[in-house]
Amino acid sequence: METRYIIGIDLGTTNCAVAYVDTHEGGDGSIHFLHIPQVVSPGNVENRPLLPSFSYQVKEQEYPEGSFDLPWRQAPTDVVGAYARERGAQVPDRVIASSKSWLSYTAADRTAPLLPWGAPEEVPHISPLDASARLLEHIRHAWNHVVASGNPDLFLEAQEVLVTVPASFDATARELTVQAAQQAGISRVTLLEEPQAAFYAWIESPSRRWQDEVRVADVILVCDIGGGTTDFSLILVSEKHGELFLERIAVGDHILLGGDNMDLTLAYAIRHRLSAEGTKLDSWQMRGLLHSARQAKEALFADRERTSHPVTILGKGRSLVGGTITTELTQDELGRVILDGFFPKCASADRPTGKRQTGLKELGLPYASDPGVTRHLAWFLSRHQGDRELQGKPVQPTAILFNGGVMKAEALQHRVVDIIKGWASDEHELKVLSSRSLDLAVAYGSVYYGLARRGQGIRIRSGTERSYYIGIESAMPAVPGMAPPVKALCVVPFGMEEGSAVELAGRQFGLVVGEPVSFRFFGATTRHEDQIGDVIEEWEEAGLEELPPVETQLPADEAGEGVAEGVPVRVTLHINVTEIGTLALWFVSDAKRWKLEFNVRNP
Amino acid sequence: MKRTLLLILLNVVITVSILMAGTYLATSLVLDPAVQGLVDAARGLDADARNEIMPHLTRLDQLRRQAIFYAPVGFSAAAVIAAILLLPLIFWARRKPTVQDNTGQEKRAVPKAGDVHGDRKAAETGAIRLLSILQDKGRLIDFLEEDIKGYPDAQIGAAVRQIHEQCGEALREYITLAPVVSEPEGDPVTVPADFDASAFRLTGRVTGDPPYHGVLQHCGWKVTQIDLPAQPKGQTPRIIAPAEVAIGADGR
Repeated sequence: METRYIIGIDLGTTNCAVAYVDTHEGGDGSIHFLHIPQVVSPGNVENRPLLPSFSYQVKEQEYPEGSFDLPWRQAPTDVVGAYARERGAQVPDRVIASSKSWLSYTAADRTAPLLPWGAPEEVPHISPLDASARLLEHIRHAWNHVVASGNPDLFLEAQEVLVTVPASFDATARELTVQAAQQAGISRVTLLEEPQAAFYAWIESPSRRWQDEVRVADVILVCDIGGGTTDFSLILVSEKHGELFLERIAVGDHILLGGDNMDLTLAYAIRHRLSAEGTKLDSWQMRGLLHSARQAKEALFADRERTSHPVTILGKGRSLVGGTITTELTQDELGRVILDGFFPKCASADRPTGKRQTGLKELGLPYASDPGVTRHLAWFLSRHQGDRELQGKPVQPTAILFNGGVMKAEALQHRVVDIIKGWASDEHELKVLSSRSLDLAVAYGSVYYGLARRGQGIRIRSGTERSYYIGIESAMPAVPGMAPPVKALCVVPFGMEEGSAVELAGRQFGLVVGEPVSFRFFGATTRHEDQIGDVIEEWEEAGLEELPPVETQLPADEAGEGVAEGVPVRVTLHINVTEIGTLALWFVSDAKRWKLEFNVRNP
Repeated sequence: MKRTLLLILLNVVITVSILMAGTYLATSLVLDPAVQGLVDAARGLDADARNEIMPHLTRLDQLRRQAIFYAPVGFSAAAVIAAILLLPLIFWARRKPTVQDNTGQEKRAVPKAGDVHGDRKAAETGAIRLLSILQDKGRLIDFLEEDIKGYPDAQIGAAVRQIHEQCGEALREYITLAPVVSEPEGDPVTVPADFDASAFRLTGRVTGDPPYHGVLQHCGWKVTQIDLPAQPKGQTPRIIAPAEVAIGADGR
């Protein structure tokens, strides 16, 4: 049954946004944004279009009773949204941030109470899964309060809900996102990749026909730089039955690098300068500086003619004017810190430096060690050089769509465009597709996708963002002290479409009844040629990345008639990509089928 | 509206009571002696004539008795109803007079004597809430309470930019403001005959009767919507900004 509302939730690393369309509304059925009630300071609840993805663990007796009451929740022990973000700078031990990045972090048990990361024991800890669920639950209540006004027929959980995920999310992280939604009381959600959602937002523009702006064989780079993450995707325009046809042909890695890093770097650069001049700032003033530096950055990027912008740090304590520190940010300094620091000119053959180290390393989010967004971009494009979709042609984007709040600055857009043009051998056209509000486009586009699924718009052909492999041990004589080498068997080809199912033919597995079975699991974003059943001998050299294992257990009482414990049952592997955008692996015997679960506990 | 209805009802009831009193007086002063005279005269007639006239006289006598009995009852009932109707009218009369401003909203002109305490309390809570928001978002109290005489203009200017921006944001978040008159300042305007004295301040040569014609000097301000949140239940009422203490930062 078609629901009245289609709701798109952009569950962001630093901000969430919710867009929706009311199909009962007459006229063009325009897409609206939900203004989300949230605590902005103790006792003040405001409705804002963005919900910062932060959550604060309130300490008992720390605030007057009722300070964090919401229309739907009395005396909560946690605060979600704007005030939680503000508290993050004051009491970092009690604030949970970037829970989405934790959700995709394969080295951590994502169901264990890890967050707030590194906080003392007395702070209540929750898992990355719980943290994401908490954000979604806040959104669900906000909707039910604001739009549904308590009418159960209009509740969010009774509508069609789309949740966006980074394109770089692997099958496990996608599955966990669905679980988080379920935990938040939203039993049915459909997943959509963020860069695709941003692209849908571009398509859905009332003022022009998108078909007029792109042509066959265009390769569109979606460059999505959010507050905390950077995500690249490539979309190919082709023709089918006389109509333009869109296909998402490549996704990049999950790069933990975004606008917040840039603002922080800028603030530290100014602090360093002030400190050289003899003015020391404490953490309280640093907060003021961060705010002021961001404003100066935006003002200078908006007006490149202007040579400098004042940066003011108000005095602390009660001496506001007396303690005010003023300095200024110049275009020169801004260019050095942001443009050259984060968008350095580089060659197409350049690589991000200091690739993540393996081995002994403190657990914690794997922040990108190279801040050069453009070097990450060069690496992304060069890795997709040989993709079959491009028929061997070099990857040269012919159009670019920017997304994320950072890219509002035209100076940054120009820099990226110039660099990509410089990589092309000849005079190369690179068209910038201008989109609507870069902060809200993802939520907006996800609603358009919801409409497209009902047949009211074009859909991008996408499918799985990686090819997936399970590890099989080679049959060879045992060598003491040496584990048998593992080969990787392709079980899911790249781009396997949603709603499709295949069987891994010609290979049977012996599943021992009553014993847990675990397979090593791998993924690759660059191997587009591998077909189901292909075997990769040297997986590390082939560019595969190991993911947490997949596992299952076949209880004796479910195995069927006359099967005893310890007896192997012959099964085949079936794979399907669900309609909602998750991956499911099944072992199928004559009598039954068992799901292979993604292990998120024992990395 | 309700008051008008009550007044009409009261009029009807008073009219009824006057009629009742009139009936009683007329009966006892005029009808009584007349009937008595007729009865006495009838006694002097012959038997046949008396028999003929007596039933009519008896009927007349019955009417007289009924009038004597029911008129006071009706009068007292009407008096009681009138008293009941009068009570709310007296209550209303004690309330302040109302005026209409140009937005057509009815508002109080003078605070009611019995409510002064409650109004002050509400005004205090609202003021503290607003101050608390302006301090929290824009540090307005810090600014107003600071002695800024000794600082150079540039330094004050730098600070004020931020205070101006943040206090403005906070104000607009909770209070919606609009000019009283929407014409541009400097334009000729007409002050209507029935103008609201709170909404217009007349200057210059104010003679004769309104409507007045003049030049708009200041558009005025009015609040079209006020949306201050209630104080949290556990909040100590007169705290505007809490003292901030950094734990574990004393260097010891």
